[in-house]
Formats: sequence, C-alpha cells, structure tokens
Amino acid sequence: MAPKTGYLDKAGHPHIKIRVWGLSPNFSQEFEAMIDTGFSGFLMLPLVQALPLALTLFGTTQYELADGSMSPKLLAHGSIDHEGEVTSGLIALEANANCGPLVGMEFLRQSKKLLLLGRNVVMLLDEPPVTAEDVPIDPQEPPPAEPVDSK
Amino acid sequence: MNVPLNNPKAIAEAGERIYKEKFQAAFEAAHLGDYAAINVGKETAFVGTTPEGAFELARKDDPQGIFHLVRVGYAGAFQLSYQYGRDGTQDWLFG
Repeated sequence: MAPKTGYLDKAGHPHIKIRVWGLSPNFSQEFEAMIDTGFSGFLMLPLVQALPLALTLFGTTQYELADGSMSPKLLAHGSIDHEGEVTSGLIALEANANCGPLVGMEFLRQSKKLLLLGRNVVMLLDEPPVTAEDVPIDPQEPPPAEPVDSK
Repeated sequence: MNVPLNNPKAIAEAGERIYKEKFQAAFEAAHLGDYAAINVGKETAFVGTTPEGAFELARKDDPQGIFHLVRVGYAGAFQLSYQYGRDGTQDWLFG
C-alpha cells in the first residue's frame, strides 16, 4: 500500500483527512481529524457533527482525562475511510461542540500503520511484520538455557 | 432499579455503580485488561477481550438493553490526553 499522508496544523499537531459513517457509506462525511497518540480510543467526534452520519449507538463509557478526572461519553459504532482503507470501531461522542475530531491509538492499531512525523510531514506507513530475528538481543543477557532431558 | 435512560451521564454512573458492587472484584481477578459491557437495566455483565466483543455478547443477550462499557482494572475504558469535555455537560443531550 502507498504511504498515507497528512499534514501539520499551525500548532504542529498532525492531522489526516478521513470519511466517517455509520449504517451506510451513503451517510459519510469528510473530517480533518487530529492524530492524538495520548488518546487510546478509535475516534472521537463532536455530537453535533456525528448526528448526520447514522452511527449505531451502543451505550456509554467513561474516559479518563490527563488530569485523572473522568468524563462520561456516549459510544457509537462506525467506520473510517482514510485514503481508501476502511476500518471500523467505537466512536465516542463529545458534547462540547468546540472540540475537533480526534483519531487515537486504536485507529492506528486497526489500520496496522506506523505514524511517521517530521518537521513538515505526516505519514502513515504499513506496519512491517516483526519476527524474532528483528528483536534486539541484550549482549549482557545470558544465553537461553538448553532444554533439559527429564529422563 | 430506576435509571433515567434519557440521561447519558446517569447511565454511565449507574453502570459504574453496578460494576463496582457486583462485578469488579471477580473480574479483576480473572479478566484484567479486558472490557465489560454492563446492562444497566438487568444488572448483568459480559466480558470480551475487545470493546466490540463485549458489546456483541451483551447485545446478543438483550438487543434492547442499555449498556455501559468499562475496562477491567482501569479507571476509564479509554484515556484521553486532551481536556475536552471537562464541563460534563452531557445532561443537555436529551434532558
């Protein structure tokens, strides 16, 4: 897959363009979502922007904010299309209309993407498979023990 | 129990209370890090390794149920570094 691209806003926060919908892509709308690696969820949208998307409402949950306080949110199910790749997950609905859309770590996990940030570039690259040979070995660590024959 | 089902904040509070009273101790011993969907009407709970998995089991049991999601062993099901939503104004949604 070709790398997916995004951009940095004036404050230096990474953003990507996504399309979001619930029951059918016919209800999809485009958003410019900030990538927030401190957000463990899939997507958060302001409720007023989520209403036209025909999301499936699932229930409620509590979000833990950075200061340790809790914030109740409605949870819905929907899909994200980012440059032709579609993922689905739980979408938190935020009452504060002033917040912008956020994609979080669950979006990156489901997309199987690496986030690459530079001074002027935001890229999402395919996550390479990691094999045992790729894992660095600590030279100070003793070699693994040989199997012992119990007979 | 009477949970005002037109108030998301009240549903979340009821879900947290039911979880703490009936399920937290047992789930933290056996399902740490998993997700639990709490049916706030029937006071039942379903555990899954993913949020979607927990909801799927819960909805299979009660398609009309109202559910609250918790992550076993965590204060919140998700963490958020931004400070959105600190005002707790979700009451206005349907109230």
